[in-house]
Amino acid sequence: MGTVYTKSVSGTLVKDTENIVNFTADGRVKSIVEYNAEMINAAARPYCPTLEAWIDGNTIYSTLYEKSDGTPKYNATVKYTVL
Amino acid sequence: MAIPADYHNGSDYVSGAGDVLSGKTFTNGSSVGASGAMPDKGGSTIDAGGVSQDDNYTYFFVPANGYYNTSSRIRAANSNIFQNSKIKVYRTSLKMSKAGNSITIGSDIQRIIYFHMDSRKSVTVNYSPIFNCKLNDDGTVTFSVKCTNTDVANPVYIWWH
Repeated sequence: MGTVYTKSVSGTLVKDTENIVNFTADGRVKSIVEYNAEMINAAARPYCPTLEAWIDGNTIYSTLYEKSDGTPKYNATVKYTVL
Repeated sequence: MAIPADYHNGSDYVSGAGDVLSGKTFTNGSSVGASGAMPDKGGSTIDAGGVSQDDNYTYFFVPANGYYNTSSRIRAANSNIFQNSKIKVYRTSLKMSKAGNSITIGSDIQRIIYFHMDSRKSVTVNYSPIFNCKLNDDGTVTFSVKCTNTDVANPVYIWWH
């Protein structure tokens, strides 16, 4: 599989909006090896969570979505390999 | 170039053993009949020292110095090269729950370039959802979902390639 790299991002989601985050990789990305995303919103009412991720050259993009009543925070970690 | 009849030190022609094929001999200003040290890669098939791509080209890095000819080949495993013609698209679904739920699917998967996990069609509250997608060593892919709500939501729809 080769060397596996790891990148993490965190922040606050804008509710009912496709929040796009990106990970700048250490080279041209070959594959996502593992992706973990956590949307933290225990108090409010987070509906319809969605996670999406894709490769584009040297960047991994991700969409995080919640039709929430609140402002959930998120933690996302991606592991990947490069060409 | 005319060689003087009485003397020539050869320094203009060969600087060292690395300039002469291994197995051959040479003479220069400091050595007579010295052995060449340039590896002969003529006609050889050699694994690339690395592979990289930009938007237009794929680059195969030469792994070692040496002599190469038109019969020499530098290769890399297909898994190191984009193969858009072999993209497969999978769809599945998975129920989100407090205890967590997962599904492992596929075989001989070498790359994940896109995935989507979506419970938007549900109106169920999924407190603090956690999504996970993992490419396993055995070529399968595992998707996992979990939330802190006690209710089991409608399926999370997944598609990926």
